[in-house]
Amino acid sequence: MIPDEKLLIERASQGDKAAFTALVRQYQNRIFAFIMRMTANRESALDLTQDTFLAAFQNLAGFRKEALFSTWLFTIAANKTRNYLRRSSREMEMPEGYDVVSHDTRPDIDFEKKQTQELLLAAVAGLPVKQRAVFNLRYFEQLKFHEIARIQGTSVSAVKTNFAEALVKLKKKLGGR
Amino acid sequence: MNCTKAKEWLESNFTSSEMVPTDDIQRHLDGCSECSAYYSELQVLHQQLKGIEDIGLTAAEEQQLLSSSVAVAENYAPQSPTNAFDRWFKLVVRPVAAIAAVLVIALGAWQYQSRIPGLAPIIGEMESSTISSEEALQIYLNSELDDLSSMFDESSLSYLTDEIPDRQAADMLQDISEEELEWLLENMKLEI
Repeated sequence: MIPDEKLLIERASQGDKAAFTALVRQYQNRIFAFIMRMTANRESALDLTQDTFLAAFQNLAGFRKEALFSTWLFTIAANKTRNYLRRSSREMEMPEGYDVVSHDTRPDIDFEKKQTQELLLAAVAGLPVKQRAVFNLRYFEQLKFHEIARIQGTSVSAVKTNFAEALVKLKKKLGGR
Repeated sequence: MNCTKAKEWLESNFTSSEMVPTDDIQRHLDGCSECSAYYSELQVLHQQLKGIEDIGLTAAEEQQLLSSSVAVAENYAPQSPTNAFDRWFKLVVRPVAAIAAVLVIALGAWQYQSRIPGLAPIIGEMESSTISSEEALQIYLNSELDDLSSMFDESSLSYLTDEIPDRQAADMLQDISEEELEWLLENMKLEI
């Protein structure tokens, strides 16, 4: 862990708002991107990102300092996302041609790029939830398999299997695009 | 280096960063068309996934998230670190209190049940650990409950009748009504 980060966590756990804000600033993009790739829904991803940081702030005292802060944050984000997906009945594999509702209103992104992005998001969001989480955490966040196993509460071999299965499905879905 | 190990390496190193095969892996790829094709497929997928690599917050969203996080932090104080007493309270006092509550409820329910006429003697006898199968059958036959089948299932009935010698059973059955006898013959497989 970065020494500065350790200090920030210490101060934030004592109620220092500035320290907490600095931690949010440092991680909010990564957490948002992870949730966005999990849910394929921009509005929900924003809400869940905020929920993740709220839960983190409230439970900072429970954070074990020997663990990586990022791993801990991803654990909270993964749990929040899983609950959200369960609630909105998206845990089942999404059908072919699933329409992603990204609610992307950014003017700086051109239409074609946006369309490609939505197709890719749909392909990733079409994976079963466990495989989706493992794939996102490994491929995009580049977490180690044992870190993902800790986040998912499963074994390293199960994580590797999920990752390999996700690769097969994605190659099939995106093949020929 | 074999194909299994090569594929395992390729999958383990497949991330959004550029994948650079080691010398060992490269030698295997050069000599194995199957693994080489697999490597190419992964490279194609890698290129495609670049399209969602840069998903991020806009400047406005970043600011919005920061503001709301600060607002949230102002409204919710972080929970204080758990001290030894808190841990002891959570690990010992809470479970003990929960068990005690369940016992009190169970005791209350038992006392309430035992006040219902007809059930009390049966429950009392059933709870006795020294009850014999003959006594159980006697209680059973003497009970004023209409629906005897609700008290015992067929397997336990069979057990009772198997345990009782025919002569004793016949003696006991002398005092029962015709209806009860009919029920017993049907449900307990007795032969008289």
